[in-house]
Parts: sequence; structure tokens; C-alpha cells
Amino acid sequence: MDKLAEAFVIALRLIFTGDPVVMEITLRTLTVSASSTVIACLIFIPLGCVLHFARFPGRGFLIGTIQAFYSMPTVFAGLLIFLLLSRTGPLGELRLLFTTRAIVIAQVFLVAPVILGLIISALKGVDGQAADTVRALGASPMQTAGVLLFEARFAVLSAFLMGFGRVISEVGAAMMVGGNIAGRTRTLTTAISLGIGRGEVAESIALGIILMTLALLVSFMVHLSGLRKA
Amino acid sequence: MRLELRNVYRAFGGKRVLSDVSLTVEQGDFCALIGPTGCGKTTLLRISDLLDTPDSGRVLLDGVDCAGCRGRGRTMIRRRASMVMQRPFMLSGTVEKNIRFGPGVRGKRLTGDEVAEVLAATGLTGMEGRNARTLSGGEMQKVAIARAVVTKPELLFLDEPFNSVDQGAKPELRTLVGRLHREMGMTVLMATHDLADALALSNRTAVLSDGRLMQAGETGPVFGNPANLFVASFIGMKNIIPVAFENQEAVAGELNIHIAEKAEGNGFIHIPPEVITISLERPDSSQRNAFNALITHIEETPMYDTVHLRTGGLALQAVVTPQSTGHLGLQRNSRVWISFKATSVRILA
Repeated sequence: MDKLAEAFVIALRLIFTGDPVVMEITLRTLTVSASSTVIACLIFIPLGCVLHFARFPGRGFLIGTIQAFYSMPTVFAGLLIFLLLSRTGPLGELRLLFTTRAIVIAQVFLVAPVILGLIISALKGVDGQAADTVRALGASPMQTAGVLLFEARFAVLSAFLMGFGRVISEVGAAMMVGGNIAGRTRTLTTAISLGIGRGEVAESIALGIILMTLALLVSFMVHLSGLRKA
Repeated sequence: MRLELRNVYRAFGGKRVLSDVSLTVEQGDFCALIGPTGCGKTTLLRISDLLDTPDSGRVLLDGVDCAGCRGRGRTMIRRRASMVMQRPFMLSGTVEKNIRFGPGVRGKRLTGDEVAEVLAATGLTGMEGRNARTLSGGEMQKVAIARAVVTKPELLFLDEPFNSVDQGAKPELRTLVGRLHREMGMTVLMATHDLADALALSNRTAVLSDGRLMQAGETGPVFGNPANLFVASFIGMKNIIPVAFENQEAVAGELNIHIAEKAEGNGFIHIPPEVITISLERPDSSQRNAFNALITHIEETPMYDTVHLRTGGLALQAVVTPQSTGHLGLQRNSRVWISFKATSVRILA
């Protein structure tokens, strides 16, 4: 028990003195997670708009399938991207495996269903009369989508935050395609899960506190954006 | 802009909503599209405004078939028209933002004076900074009208524009729509189930029932001379008479009918059947309007009898109790006196 308390005190000191390793891992995690979420949003918000407005056979089934993949296991995303990027895989030439870029790719794939699904429901949540009204006032399809996204901006923000929350706390994909390489691909989650096995208790606790704080912050912001309906 | 629909069909999931609808609205016309709820009015408007595509048939705008237009071309054509929806959806933000939206998507930024002008024209002066979502139903509908007309549409679609406003706000909005049409001269197609709206505003009326066009033509004849039983029964209101107003009289056929208000030009009056009194002798002068009439038919029901009369070239109906029918000895082809007060005559204009 004493040892644990001691480790906890060291952990706090690591955080508040700005330990370079802890800071480096935190910063990398934030950068990777933000990149993944932003890239996923850039791809999947427009795609969500297309799926919302387009009418084609099997659309309902497709949207249902997307929502079923919300809880895609992170190691599954990691496995798929690993196979894609491994030396013998179709994209092996790019030599991306065990880089932060590989983590970003795997995480984009991981949050794709979440972002897509939440954007579609965000647009669905806008007044049914909105699209017709905006189009009737002369908006092009692009302008219409823009207005609807703006009208649903708090739900869109929620989708972004939920995506961010999912990637910052996932360990499977980052571990499989990142490899937890110190100083290169180590993130908060991979550092904690492997650090504890190596006896780096204090460091793991420090990283854990930071991760928990970030995750709570994101959840709190999701809650706040959910409260705004205007 | 001239609108012409030719043989338009539309079905949703196997349910036929419009069947072989052909309708022409000439440049500058105010055409009322009347019919019961669910008869396809909104679908017809959405197809006309290129918000929806017919399964077959043509939508000609100034003679050009636009039904199949896609992409940029469709948007550009739609920008020459505008539409006010049944339930106004306000963009989040201020009234001014809503007003600026239409010109904005066309790449035009309104000046402050232009905004003030349209606000004044629609009775919204001073409201530009208000949050559009906190307005009353009537105010929202005014904003919806203002943001539609600010784009100077050549063709304006109104889908039950007075439906979501309370009765008190309705006359003002109706006057507003009539004035905007007169001043701007655009072609208007207005869906409504309220016949008074059609009579007050339109010069042409089209009657839609169950996705089929029953009758279309000048408003007076459509109301005065329904083409078929549906139109007649839908119109429902009895004793609507097209008249020419001369001071405090309404001239209809050979009759000069005293009315309580001064009016000018042409219009319609409505004499509710229940205000007409039937007597065998000419009534005394306290009843201002008295005409000799011929009974053409008596429709009997347990509660009341409807007496169909003909006088001075007009067909009128009066409602009496079965006791009165017996007491007065009313029967087909007999002559009676009908009378009603000038104040009972409703002017529809």
C-alpha cells in the first residue's frame, strides 16, 4: 500500500513538473487522436451528407449496418490495417507500419462508423422542413448540406467529440499498427498497458491520470454540446 | 414566369398522389389550388418548384421542360422561383439572417436599405435583430414571405401560407400577400383548403381531388359554376355570387342587393342560406333586400329543409324548418318572397 501511495506521489510530481517523457507521450497522443478525428470528419461528414440526401435501394440497410459497426473492436481495426500495411500487404510499399501515420489510418477506420452514423442522425434531427425550405430559397445541394450541418452544429460537434473520445482511449489499434515504440509511436494507452508490465508504475499512473482527465473532459464537452439545442 | 404542367404523374411507394395533372398558370396570374387536405396540393407545388420530380409528365417553365433538369441547371432555374412552406422553418439566428439567406446563396449581399425595405413591405420593421425562432406564428410566416419575395421571384409558390397562423393574424397576412402580388407582378400558385383565401386573392382557381384536377379556370366561374359534383360539394359554401359593387349595392344579374359596407369593383358576396327568410307576402321595409323568387326544388331532411330558389337569374338556397315548409305551404314551382338584411350579406374580397 505504501508503495502504491509512493508511486501516486511520484506520478503527480511527473505531471506537475512536466516530465519530458510524460509530456511527449501526451502531446503525441493528442496530435494523433486529433489528426484521426479531423481526417475522419473531413471524409465522413461529406459522405454522411451524401448518405442522408441520396435515395437508393438498400440505403436503410447500409445505414443500419454502419450503426452496427459503432462498437467495432479496436483490435479488429488494428488487425485489418496491419494486414493492409504489412510488408506483404497491398500497401506494404508505403512502409507505414509502426509509424504514427499507421495509427492515424487505423483510427480513422475505427471511428468511421461512429462519425458517419452520428452525422446521419444529426442531419435527421434537423427539422424535416429545413431542407425543402433552404432549397426553395435557392440553395444548391452543397449549400443545403452546409446549412443543415450548421443547423445541427451541436450534434455535429458531439459526433466529433465522441470520435475523439473513442480514439484517444483505444489501445488495440494503436498497439497493433503503432507498436508502442518509445519516442516514436508510444501513446498514453499503449504506454500504460505495457508500462505496468515493466514495473513503471509511477509513470503508468501519471499517464493514467492524464488519460482519465482528457476522457472526462471530452465527455463533459459532449454533454455540454448535447444541452445546446438552439 | 409562365408555369405549365403537362400530364404529371407522381406516386410514393405505390400510392398514386398525382394522376395526369395538366395545369397552366399564365405570367402574372394568381392561381389558387384548392382541395381537401391530402389531395396532392403540396406534391404538385413541390414538383412545380423542382423540389420533386414527377414519375412522368412535363414541367414547363416559360415553355422549357425542366422536370428532368439536374445539378447546377436545376438550382439555377429554381432560383427564379421561391416558395413559402405551410409550416415556416426559421433558420437559427436573427430575422435579418433569414432575410439575407436567399440573396446570399445567389452570391448577392443585400444592403441595409434593401433589408429595411423588405421589412417595411412585410410589416416587420424593427424586428431585424430578433431571434427568428422566438417569433409568433404570424410573425414567422411574415418572415417566410419576406425572405421568399426578397429574391424577387418570377414565380412564387405558397403552400397553405395562412395555415399555421392564428385567425387574428390571417386577414393581415392575406392583405400582405395580395399587395405583394399586385406590386411585384410575379406569377403565384397558392395551395389552400380555405375557399375564402381563393376568393380573396386569386383570379384563377384549380380544384384538386385525390390527385386529379377537377376543374381549373377563372375563379368566378369555378365558384359560380362548378364543373362537377365534387367541386360543387367541396365548394360547399352556398350562395356565393359574383357581383359588381356600386357604392352600397352589389349588382348580380338583374338584382341590386343592398350591402352594409361600401365596396368598389368586382367581387363576391356570400348570403348564408340561414339568413334568408321566406314569406308569402312582400315583407315590410325593415328587411332591406326583398325579391320575388321561384321555388325550383325542396330538399328535405329531418332537421331542416333546403329550399332551392331562382330569382333575377340567380340560383339561391334558403334553409327553413320543416314546420315552416308545412305552415307556409311551400312547394315546387310556387312563388314566394325572400328577404335578408343588408348586414347579413358577407363581402368576400
